Amino acid sequence: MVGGFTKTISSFAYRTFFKKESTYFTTVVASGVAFSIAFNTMFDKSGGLIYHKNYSSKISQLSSNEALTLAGTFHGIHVLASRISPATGGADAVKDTGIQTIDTKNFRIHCYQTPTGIKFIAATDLLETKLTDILAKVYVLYSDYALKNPFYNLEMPIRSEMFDTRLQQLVQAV
Amino acid sequence: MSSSQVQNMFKLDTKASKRATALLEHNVTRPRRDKVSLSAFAFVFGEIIRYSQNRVLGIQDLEAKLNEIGKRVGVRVFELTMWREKTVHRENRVLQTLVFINTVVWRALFDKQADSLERSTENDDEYMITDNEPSILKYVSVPREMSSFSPGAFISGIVEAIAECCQCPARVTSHVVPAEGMPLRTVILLKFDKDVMERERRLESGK
Repeated sequence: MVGGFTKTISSFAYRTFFKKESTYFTTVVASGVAFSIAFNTMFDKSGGLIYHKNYSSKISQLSSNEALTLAGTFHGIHVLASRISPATGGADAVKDTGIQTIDTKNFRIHCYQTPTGIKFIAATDLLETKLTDILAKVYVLYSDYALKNPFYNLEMPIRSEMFDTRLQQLVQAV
Repeated sequence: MSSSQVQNMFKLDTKASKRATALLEHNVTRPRRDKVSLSAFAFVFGEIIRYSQNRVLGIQDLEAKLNEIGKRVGVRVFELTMWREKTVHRENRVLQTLVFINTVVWRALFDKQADSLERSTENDDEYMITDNEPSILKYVSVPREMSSFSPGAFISGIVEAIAECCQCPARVTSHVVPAEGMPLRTVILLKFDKDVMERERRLESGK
């Protein structure tokens, strides 16, 4: 099912509430309980899914509910990963960027996080080692065709034909 | 605060104000080299549509509002092009007005000529200006439930104002007519007033 495909990407983009999150982070550190609280609240505040699309017929199709769950769960572990990073111990340590790729036997999930907290995720086969450039291009498309579209509301699912077609072109060019 | 600090602040202040006046005191006759970033315009245009959308009853109302805003722009664009283009004189014949809009105005606004200028085959008083890729609408995609809405209403407002300034008042509407590979192809339809066409006929016969 998953193993047979080459050059297949299904991509997600979702947004996290950056400001709220950072205030939350300070409270967690202060109370000193990282794990249990982290998980619960993260799930509530998990970034909403704003776009999801499959670009291959060979892979199993995710239902919109599954996609939402995936986005929420990924958001959770992404934040968690950046919190438990041993590199963030020192006072002047830079905050970890969180998960960049997840590998399985058959496929790989890539994540690109923007400075504003939006995450772009793509699932590909193992031949694609680094997708940062392409996901950065998706970010460009997002800021052009979603944010500059007068009919788009922030935090809402993207329903823009232009965005769809441009993304399709981009994926096909890969 | 020490005196040197105060002096420093003062220095910074004058610097900032110098920059501001330099920007504001640009000469209007300066040719079209100063260009506005498309992104900045796209954000403003998007906000205009969003703002108007909350204050209208329907799609037609929204188009009328955009048209009205376009008109205000058009009057100013007309004056400015007249002032800048030394070779152009004020037109008052229908065809010359259309050519003026098609070339001079389009070049001033969008840095290119409109893609075509046609006369309607059905009515003598109707003309169409077509732009295959209106640059200011580049990022706009109209949702399906509003498919009859044409964001080009803003451009048609500009055209309407200019036609009026040229003594050729017309009713101007815009329509999205997508073509292969050009999803935003916009047709600006001008329907000139009756007395304009009558005057045209008189001028024609008087030649």
